[in-house]
Amino acid sequence: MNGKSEKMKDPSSSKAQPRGEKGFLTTVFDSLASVTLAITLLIILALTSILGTLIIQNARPDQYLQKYGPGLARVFHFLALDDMYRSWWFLSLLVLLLINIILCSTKRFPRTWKTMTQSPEVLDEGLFARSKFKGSVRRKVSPEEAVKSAREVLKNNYGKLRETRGPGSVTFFVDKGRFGRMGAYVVHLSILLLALGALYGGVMGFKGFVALAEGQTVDRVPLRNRPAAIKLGFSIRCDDFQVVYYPGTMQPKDYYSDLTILRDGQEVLKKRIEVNHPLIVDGIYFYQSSYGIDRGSNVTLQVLDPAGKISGPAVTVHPGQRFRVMGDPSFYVLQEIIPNAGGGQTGARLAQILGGSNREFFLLSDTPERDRMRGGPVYFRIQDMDIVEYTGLQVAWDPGVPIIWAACFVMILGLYLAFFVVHQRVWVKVEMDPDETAVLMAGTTNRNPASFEKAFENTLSQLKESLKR
Amino acid sequence: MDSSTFHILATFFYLFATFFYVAYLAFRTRGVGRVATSVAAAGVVVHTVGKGLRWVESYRLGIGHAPLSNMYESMSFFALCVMAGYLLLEWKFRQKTLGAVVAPIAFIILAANALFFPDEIRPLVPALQSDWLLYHVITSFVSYGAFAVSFGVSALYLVKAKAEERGMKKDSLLALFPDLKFLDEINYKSIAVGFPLLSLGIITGAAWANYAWGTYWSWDPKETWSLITWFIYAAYLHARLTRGWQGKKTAVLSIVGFAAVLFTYVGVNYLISGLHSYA
Repeated sequence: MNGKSEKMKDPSSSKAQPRGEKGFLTTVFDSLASVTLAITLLIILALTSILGTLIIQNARPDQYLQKYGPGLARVFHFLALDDMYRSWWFLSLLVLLLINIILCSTKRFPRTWKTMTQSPEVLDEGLFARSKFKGSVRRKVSPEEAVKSAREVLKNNYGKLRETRGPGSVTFFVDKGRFGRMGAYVVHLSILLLALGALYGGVMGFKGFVALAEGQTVDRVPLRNRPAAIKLGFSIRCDDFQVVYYPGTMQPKDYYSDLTILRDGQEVLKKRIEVNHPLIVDGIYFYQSSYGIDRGSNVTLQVLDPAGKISGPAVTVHPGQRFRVMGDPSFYVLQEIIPNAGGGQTGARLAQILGGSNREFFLLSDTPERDRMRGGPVYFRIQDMDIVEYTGLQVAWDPGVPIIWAACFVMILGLYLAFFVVHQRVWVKVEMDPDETAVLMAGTTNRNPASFEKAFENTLSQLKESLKR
Repeated sequence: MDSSTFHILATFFYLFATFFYVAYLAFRTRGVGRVATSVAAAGVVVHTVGKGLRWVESYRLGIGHAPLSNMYESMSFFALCVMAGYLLLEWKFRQKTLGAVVAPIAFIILAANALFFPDEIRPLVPALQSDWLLYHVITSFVSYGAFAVSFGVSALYLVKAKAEERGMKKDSLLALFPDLKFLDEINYKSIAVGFPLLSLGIITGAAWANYAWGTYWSWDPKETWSLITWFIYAAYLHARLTRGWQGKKTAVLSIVGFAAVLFTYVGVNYLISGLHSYA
């Protein structure tokens, strides 16, 4: 009924060595190799991982000050909770788990290997007594007939079997799914492989991000976690960037960049990339990750007086630029150019700064008189826009990835072995007594005893039935 | 009839299945049990047809995608997994009494879904336009369904164990449910199915993230919470298989695990912002 009917005994609790005589090192080793530590670590890792999902990670120092106040911000910084998954204490917990996995598995492995490979092939009295499932039958039939029946019934029910002839007895042995016992070890191995892949990729690889304006070429990419840049060994140019919207909406359906790779000034590769379809050059991946309006874009604004007459020369401004116009004491800032303001029109978001107050307003190309409502000495109309878009490219080279996928494959294999391959053993012994023939049947399983018992009882009754004839 | 009608029909089938399962619990007649199972199975069929129809409808709208892309669609799939998973258990163990607990859960999920989430078919954001969507969501949600079953039997276990300690009367409602040993076994078995599937869900998610964003793991809240869930069920399996924990202790761990599943699924989206904010 339970997960494992033959409970694995923890070797650390063996009685061979009384507790008091254990040396310090042995005690340390035993606790490092214990399943109790594994369970404790898993629960501690689960609990501490929660923190990093509640506290924002890798933000700027002023964001912590603003959000949590100076006291908490200092505590978070001291405990590295602002970058906790890379903090010394979290990594130590992971390393401790890896040590635990290694020690625990190596300690238990020999015993499991022995159970798996060195099953007794004959059914002696001790084994029969220890077996959880057993049964026997005595009949006045010839031993040859009994052996034949037993072989047939077992073959029909379990398939492959081994036959051992001893003095005065024959034992049949069924050994099914023994590799199921390796499941846990295979999963543990996969976790070590995962760690190896992550470490290798982390040390050898890099992750960067570059915002590439249309027409711009770069040959180095700024790294994400360090103030440094990586030289690509080739150049990459963005020829064009496009956003396609779902018809009639402002929701992007797709966005893509046309990229060109250049070596020594020669174009060697052109490719269009989009989300979910990266470009790979020399093992370096370029992912379409974001987009925006380059600072080199500009908007030309007509300046009009409240009567609707041009009141001064048009102004051309870049995003972020502060400007003034004739006949108005306010400052203006172009905050954002909006290439798709719905219905195919363009727009712009501006702010008016007068005294200490800051007021935002919008301009739309299809409703040019919109800004007149704002009231004031002047209002604006969009005359022209020169939009240069940039494409945000995530650039990554991670040589650990193949190891990660290998580890995932091994993990799936291990999980399959651990949960779906059951080690079942059945022995049937035919004893040639002078008076009558005795047939003994015994069986064990490492998992799912309920269904094992069903099959076992079924086979036993078939055996009894066949011996009647 | 469109897919919404089928969803509403399925909701009512689950409601009626709840009545019949409760009636079966009370009267224990074979006929009532058969009707309960048939109504539940009909609900699953109607629900599946509704899902398939929604898939077709999305193509008719020119925004074709598997119906697994937002809260409404994933909740509906979750309910389907719970109910189909239960029927599988019922068939395998010839045990109909748990239906009185599971059918109302499926009903509540679908009813709440209709109340709280818009059922409009929305176009996919570019990040979701990938074949990985199907593999990732199916593995994840079948595991959620298995964990929901393990949660249900664990809760029942704790309530029943408490009642037995207090000296339960023979005619009490709880006495009608399967014995503690059986509940404990189902708890383990559903986790033994759910855990490998959750692992597969995380792996397919990592593979997709690597393909779409250039990193297989970025400690995004959704990723982190799926790992927290994985840690808890891993602790459960170690406690049960090698330390021999059983009964109350494992039932509590299983309930904690399902709380983590719910937070991974729903909580992260509403309480924490991150990359994975569609469902």
